[in-house]
Amino acid sequence: MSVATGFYGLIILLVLLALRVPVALALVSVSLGGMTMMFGWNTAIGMLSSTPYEFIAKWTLSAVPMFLLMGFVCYHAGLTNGLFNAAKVVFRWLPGGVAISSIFASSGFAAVSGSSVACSAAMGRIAIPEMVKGGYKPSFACGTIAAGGTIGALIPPSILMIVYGVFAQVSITQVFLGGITIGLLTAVSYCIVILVVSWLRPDIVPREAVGAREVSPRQALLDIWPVLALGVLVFGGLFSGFFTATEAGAVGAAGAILIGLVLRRLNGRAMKAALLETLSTTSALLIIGVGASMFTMFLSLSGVAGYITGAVSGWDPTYLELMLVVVLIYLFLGLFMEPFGAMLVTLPVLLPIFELYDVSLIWFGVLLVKLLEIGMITPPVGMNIFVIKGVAGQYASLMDIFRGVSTFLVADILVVALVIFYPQIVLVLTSG
Amino acid sequence: MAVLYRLTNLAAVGLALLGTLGILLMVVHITLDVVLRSTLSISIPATLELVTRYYLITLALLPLGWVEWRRNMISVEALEGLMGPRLIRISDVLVSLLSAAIYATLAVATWGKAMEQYQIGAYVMSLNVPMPVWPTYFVLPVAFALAALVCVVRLPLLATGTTYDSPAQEER
Repeated sequence: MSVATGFYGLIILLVLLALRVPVALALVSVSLGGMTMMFGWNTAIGMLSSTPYEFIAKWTLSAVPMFLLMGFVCYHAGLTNGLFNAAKVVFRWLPGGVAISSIFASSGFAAVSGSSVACSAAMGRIAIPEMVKGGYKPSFACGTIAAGGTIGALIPPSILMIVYGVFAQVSITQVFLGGITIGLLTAVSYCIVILVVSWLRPDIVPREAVGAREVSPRQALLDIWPVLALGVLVFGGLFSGFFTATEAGAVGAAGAILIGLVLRRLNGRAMKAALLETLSTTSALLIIGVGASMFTMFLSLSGVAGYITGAVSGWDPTYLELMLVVVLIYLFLGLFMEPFGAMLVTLPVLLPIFELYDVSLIWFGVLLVKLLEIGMITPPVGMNIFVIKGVAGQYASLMDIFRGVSTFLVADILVVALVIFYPQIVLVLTSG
Repeated sequence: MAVLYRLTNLAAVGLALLGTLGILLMVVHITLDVVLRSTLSISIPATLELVTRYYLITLALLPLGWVEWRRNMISVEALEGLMGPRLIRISDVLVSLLSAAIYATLAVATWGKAMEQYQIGAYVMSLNVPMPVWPTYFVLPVAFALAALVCVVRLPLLATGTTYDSPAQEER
């Protein structure tokens, strides 16, 4: 009976989500209904009364607002503006050099921001007009930045990875270390795509260097020192074990504010925007976490999580079969769900299965974030695409941007395959 | 109704501002703790408790009404393109009703918990000093109740597809 209630809960959840009920409230209402059916109203209310506080008041979750603030301050104070010019100093001479520079600038941006949307918006404003002016096909230029934006959530800090770490109860620092590898792998794979397109279709990506060199290497270094300094401070402290993730985020945010004030780039308006965006994003994310926490409890008590795990172990798929199913689930969810919702709705079911298979949960977290980020650039709901449409909509239609990004999806699938076949790639920097 | 609408907006923005204060305090407190620890080997007492139970609870939950007001809650919008404007309006009203009911239930449930914590005078020990934590439990019912109120107050607007001329527009 309980298992049936659990399955009904899953179906009702999907219906509520399709009816546009906010993910957090859909999770809470299904959990409340399910717990009432199984154990009565008082038990259900008991869960509602204690879970929000118990879930939120966690030290590891404090890292979420801190890293968000650091990223938003860097973005609004324009501390990351020099990244694109600096990357051009190094890569401009390559075929498709401006596009390749934008990918590496996105990687640099990713090191101070945990959000792919912010990354796409920041780079889109700067790089797309320059690429179009330099003869790049507008749809490809927009697609490059949308794809490059996904690196924002792969290279640490990554908000998705922090929330994953909390749910899977694994070290966030270790997941971050895995994120460095997959972030750089993604950046390199995108550069290969650009090089191949430039080789096959010079009408889409010009082969020769575009424009004259605008800044000297010295000037470029001077422009990006705030990002470099923050990166060294935050990740030096975090990976050496001196800071926890929360402390790294707070020191990074304080550092970004200080640098912004010293350079006179952080005015009241920019600070207000950074604070409000941090507030809005943190609140919207953590309330989903509260819902997912209740949903995990409901699925576990209903026996559905155990039932599905049992069914999977009865089916006894090989590692590759299991991974194929997981990849297909996330690619499908990525078509219409944003990453946090997709991750928190599925983790309660999938984590017990991976524990059963003795798969490294650090590795799975890194792969999961990569899969979720692919969802940011697939139609019909691809947040990065919408952002690019917002900041550079005059250059390409929504359909054109989806078309432009499709080439990069091939690289994404290859990276995912590589990580599945050779898990040690991701784990090379980690100790898990 | 327009007055209630404006008052709700004011309350939502006010609580959100308290949330921003929570963020700033969190940054300053943790950074100071790290700096003092690495230079003078001194730790600020009760850092963990203050960060998680005061700042984080405040900044994550108090802005909930404001987030609802701006309709920034994360939802799946894949089917929106298939809906006509009338269907979207009906769906908006139904979603807002359900949201109000859930928030109200959460408010009632967490109010009970907050009163329970108040009555026992809940505290945590930090370096042998008792630090009261019961006040932080009241953040939850306040935040959920305001979010419920926001969902109710906007119902007539969602149903008719109109707007009040209010400061809310500037906030968006």
